[in-house]
Amino acid sequence: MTNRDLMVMGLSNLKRRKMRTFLTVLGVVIGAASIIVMLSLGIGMNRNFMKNMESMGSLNVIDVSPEYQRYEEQSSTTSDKKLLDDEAIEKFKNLEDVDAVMPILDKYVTIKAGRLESSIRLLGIDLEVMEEFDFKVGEGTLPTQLANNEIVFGAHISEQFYDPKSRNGFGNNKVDLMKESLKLFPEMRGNSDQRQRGINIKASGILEPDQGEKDWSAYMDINSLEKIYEDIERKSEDRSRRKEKEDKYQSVKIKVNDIDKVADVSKKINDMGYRAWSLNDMLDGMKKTYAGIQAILGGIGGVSLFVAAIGITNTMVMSIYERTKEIGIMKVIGAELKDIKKLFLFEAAMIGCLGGIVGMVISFLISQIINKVAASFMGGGMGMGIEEISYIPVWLYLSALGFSTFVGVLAGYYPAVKAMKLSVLEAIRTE
Amino acid sequence: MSIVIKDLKKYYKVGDQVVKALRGVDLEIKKGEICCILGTSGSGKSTMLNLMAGLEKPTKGEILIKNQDITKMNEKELAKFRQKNVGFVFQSYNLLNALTALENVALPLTFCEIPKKIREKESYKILSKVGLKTHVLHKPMQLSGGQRQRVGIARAFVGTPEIVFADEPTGNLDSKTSEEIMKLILEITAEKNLTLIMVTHNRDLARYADKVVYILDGEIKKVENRNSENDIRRYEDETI
Repeated sequence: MTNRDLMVMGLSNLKRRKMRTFLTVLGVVIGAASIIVMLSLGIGMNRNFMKNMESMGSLNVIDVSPEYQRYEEQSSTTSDKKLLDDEAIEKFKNLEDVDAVMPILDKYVTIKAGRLESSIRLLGIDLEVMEEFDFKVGEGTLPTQLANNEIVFGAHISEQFYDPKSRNGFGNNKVDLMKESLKLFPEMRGNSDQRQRGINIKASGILEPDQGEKDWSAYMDINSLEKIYEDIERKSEDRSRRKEKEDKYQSVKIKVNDIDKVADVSKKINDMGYRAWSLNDMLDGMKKTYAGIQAILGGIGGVSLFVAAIGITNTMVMSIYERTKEIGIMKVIGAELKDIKKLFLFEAAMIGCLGGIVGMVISFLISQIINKVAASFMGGGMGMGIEEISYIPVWLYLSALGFSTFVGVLAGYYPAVKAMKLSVLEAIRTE
Repeated sequence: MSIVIKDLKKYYKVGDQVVKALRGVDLEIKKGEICCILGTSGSGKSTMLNLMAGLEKPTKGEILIKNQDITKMNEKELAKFRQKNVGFVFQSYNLLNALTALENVALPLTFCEIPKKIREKESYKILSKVGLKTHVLHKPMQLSGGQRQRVGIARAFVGTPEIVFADEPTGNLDSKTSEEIMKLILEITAEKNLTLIMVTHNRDLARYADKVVYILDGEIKKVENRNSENDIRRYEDETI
């Protein structure tokens, strides 16, 4: 029997017993829909969590800092200490799965704009990899190496200025950084009282707000920043205390090409003798918790699909009793054993598949309703990143469909074998 | 396609008792022969037919069809063998009520994986032959007994079977219809040059056979190779 004929025959058998087919399919619909909806809640929760994490910083970025050393060790065995220098940067770059490496020079400076001033954190970074580390300008442009002393400011810096001579220093002192002429005063160890001449700087742009550390920092080209400090040190002539070994960079950011590889890379860096930290470390524990929640939700849905599977088996077994004679006749007039088996398996699979398809539609509707209701509960979205409590990715739809079909086949297997093994003579004699 | 039966025995166990349905039967049926197995109910004639058709296994003995011993075939091979070589006419028609006459007749061809167009054409042809040209789309429930058996005959003879088994083909029909049905069976058998093996308790039907096998209590009493009214009458006298 060709598969085509088999399908036609199977479908017409299902059609012949409309009510029963409908009820059995309904069971699968409920099972499939409950699995999809339950899992969609877990996935939605996970997504909201991930979104919150992402707003805290990139998940695939590792922060590397020099190895922490206890105070007493610092003086004695400094030679063992791994330094964050250019050599280290090269090593990081050569690690597998590393996309970009950004050494950071971390300085505190005072910026003066007319009467107003502000102490800010100025980070020297490699301008070439700025885009890779998700620097997005809201206004103006990112600094370029062509222009000297260009700085891009975080979104909230402009609100941090105060007037040192005024009594109420922090007033409405918002500075238009793009327009004002700015001067930079590096803060140096021990020579803060020394009168400095400020260095002229220029704002190239303001970063987009990102609810993270970037809002509160300013960035400039690492080489320019380094040069500023070298110049000052030369002038201060502090030769007596020639620094021995010091980290050239205060920290390094490393971007990994795949979130899943972050842990690997972190471990390698730790093994090299540095301290690596990423948001992902925190995520790991959370992920396990969510996997647990997901399993419970899926399990609840799974129970109803299991009940539906029993329904399919029951329907097919009933169908055998009802069709015993028919099966017998078909066998006598030339149906092969595999035809009978396939016919029953196909009918069971169709019940599963049909239930899966309708279940997909139903779960889509339920998911929409849940989200609508949830949105109205949360006051039309407080802007806290929670938008969808229930989220159904395409793969969930497809695997639910596949799974319910598979469950159908599984549930139909016993009846199919039973039908196949039916004795011809007995079958044909039943009325 | 000749059929050779050697020392065929079939015992059933019913509770503690052993019922000997066939007690050692030898028979040879030549290709193209019309063979009528005649016996009262419980004589073992139906058992013999079932064994020849491979619907059940004998306790002992061989059944050679086309020089193949079908008693040694497994379920799968038997199904394939029936599909290729055998047609069936039943006393109670055994049509599928959900299907139309045409679909019922086409069913054996469907199992043989013959394309839809061809099998429908073949089925239509043979339904026309049995006089149901106008009833091809009727369901069995819409047909009379005689018409249903015509569909049954069409289903048995459609395609290219080499043996047709008929189990009391006129058992449920009145005498006039029986006559028509038998004529039809014989006509198509002759036309297709098939071997026909027919089981009946109706002595009238034996008139049409080339070979009549008288069976009683699981044993062959007599094999008549020519059909003559006298032989049958003599058998009647003996058995009554």
